[in-house]
Amino acid sequence: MLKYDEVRPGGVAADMPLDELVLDMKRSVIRMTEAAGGGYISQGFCSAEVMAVIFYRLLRLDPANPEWKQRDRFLLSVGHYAIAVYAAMEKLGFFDEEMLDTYSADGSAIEMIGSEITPGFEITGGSLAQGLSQGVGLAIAAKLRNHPWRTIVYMSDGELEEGQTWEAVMVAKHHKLDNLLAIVDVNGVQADGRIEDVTGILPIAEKWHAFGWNVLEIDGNNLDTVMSTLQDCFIPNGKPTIIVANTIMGNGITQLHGKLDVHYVKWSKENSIQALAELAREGVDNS
Amino acid sequence: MIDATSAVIYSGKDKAETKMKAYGHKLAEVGKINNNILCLSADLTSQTEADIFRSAHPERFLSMGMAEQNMIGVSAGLARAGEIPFAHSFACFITRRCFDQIAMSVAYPRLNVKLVAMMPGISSPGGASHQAIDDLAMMRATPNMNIIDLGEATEVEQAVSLAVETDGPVYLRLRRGLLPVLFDKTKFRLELKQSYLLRRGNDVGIITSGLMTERALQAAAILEENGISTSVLHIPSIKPLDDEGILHLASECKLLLTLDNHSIIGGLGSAVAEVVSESRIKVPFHRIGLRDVYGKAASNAYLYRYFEFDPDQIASVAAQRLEGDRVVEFKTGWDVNQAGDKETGWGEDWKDK
Repeated sequence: MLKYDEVRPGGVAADMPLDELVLDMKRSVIRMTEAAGGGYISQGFCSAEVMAVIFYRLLRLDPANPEWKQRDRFLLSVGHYAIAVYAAMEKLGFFDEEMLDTYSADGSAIEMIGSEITPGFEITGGSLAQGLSQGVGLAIAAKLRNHPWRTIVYMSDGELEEGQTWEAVMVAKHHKLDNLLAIVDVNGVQADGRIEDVTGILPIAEKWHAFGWNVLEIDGNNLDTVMSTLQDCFIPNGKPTIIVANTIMGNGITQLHGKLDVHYVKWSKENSIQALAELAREGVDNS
Repeated sequence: MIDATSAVIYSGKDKAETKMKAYGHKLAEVGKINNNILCLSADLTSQTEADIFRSAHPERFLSMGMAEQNMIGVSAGLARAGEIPFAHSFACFITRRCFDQIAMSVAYPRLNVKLVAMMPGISSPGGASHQAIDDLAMMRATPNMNIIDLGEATEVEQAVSLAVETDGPVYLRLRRGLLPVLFDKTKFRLELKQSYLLRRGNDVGIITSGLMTERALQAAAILEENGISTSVLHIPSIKPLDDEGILHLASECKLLLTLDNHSIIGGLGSAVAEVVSESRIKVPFHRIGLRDVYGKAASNAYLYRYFEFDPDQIASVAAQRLEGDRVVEFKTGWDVNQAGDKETGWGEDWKDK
């Protein structure tokens, strides 16, 4: 049985350069979207930097044994972002690269909206706001039994409109869960349009402050910022931590910029050629 | 089907023996043996008898505040970590408010969460807001869910261990407080997917669960006095259901009658109708329950009478249906005050003696 401290965060990707890993993830996201003729590519691109740091620098996992008892728990509450998680998991060896081409295909083990039929996927997200509550349960259990794992829940801004979110926020504070980290992706767009045009959930960080959490607000598409924030975000002060990550839907894909109907995007080979060319330029700029 | 006729210690006449807070005391007792049992409550701790566990094992009691949806999710997370959470609230709140959370966070992943749903149907005097008349319908429609409907002290006590031994989600539908003792605990053994024949007769076959079972035994005694022999089949395990036991009873009676402390839509009566109508058995059939209406705020005694759940009313319906829907001369000898339930509810009888 593996011991928690003996497992390296990031596994086989721990020594690979993060910027290259992000580019690699984005290429996988394009590949999946093209194979399915469409998908949640906007979410895949806005979350890539945060997901890369979580999976390649933070989480202690065992891809050979996804059920390893002491593993860190990553809960994707907003199941629509599964496309980015699949990209990260493939690199870590949870499944073969060819599986990416089955994204959302009939009978595939990687569904359009992330569910626990995928080995290594902790929960079935998608019905929004149910992830944080389950994260609270896992964090309480860890405190109660001295389990080493840390619990990270990934959410989105639109999801904060569900009342259950705030029930969980309140209870996490009450039970002093400083082994719990929530990350909310604030891309400003939900299915009906811009967040501020749909309802009054803004401002976000202030609300978490008021509920007594540690609050860190960052540019979620700036890899250096994301890395420096996430590597040291479990603060043992009896409070759970929230990272408010401001991002851009479809970040770096100019075809998607400035559009509001990018929740789900139809996608062709031509779209891929253009997006991959942009990625290649980004790679050159970074080097 | 188990022949439990020798386990029945209540004749259906006079008053049954009673026992106070069978559930709460048992949960605390089982919690002493099994360290993985956790107790969650959403601001209804003494009202769901969870206060007894809280006093006995405070380190394993988790206060969730008045937030049931989150409580279901927290329970799911705890179960994912290997714990056995018992989440407590009133039946109406834990189902209506949390149906999606139960489906997606608990039942789909088949997690080991025990949902303790107190005061179902008109066992609550609190009116439409507090009376779960549709919880069985929701839980029955939820794949992977086990449902046990309980109203008697012996089975309530056994249900705690049964829930712990059952791997996966269990919906415990519990009448609280002062419960009748109808079964000899040395002869009755609660199991999933089981039904219990409490008395045997040729004319009417009554299928019942929960608090209606006491009523069924009383109605059967009245029918017997009027020359109508009656079987009573008690089915605490609403899901999985003992289809064979139901079909056996249906094939051996002249009238099949179901009792539901619930809407007639989606409860035990519906379940029986589904089983019988998929078989080749033809039998006159009648459901007693709330006839597609909400409950109302009143004493239990009033509500039983109002919704025609009293034994003389049940017996009268049975006799009429048996005689081809003719109004029949009928002696009941039933005193509407006999049940003595006028105080049951918010009142003093609730306090531990």
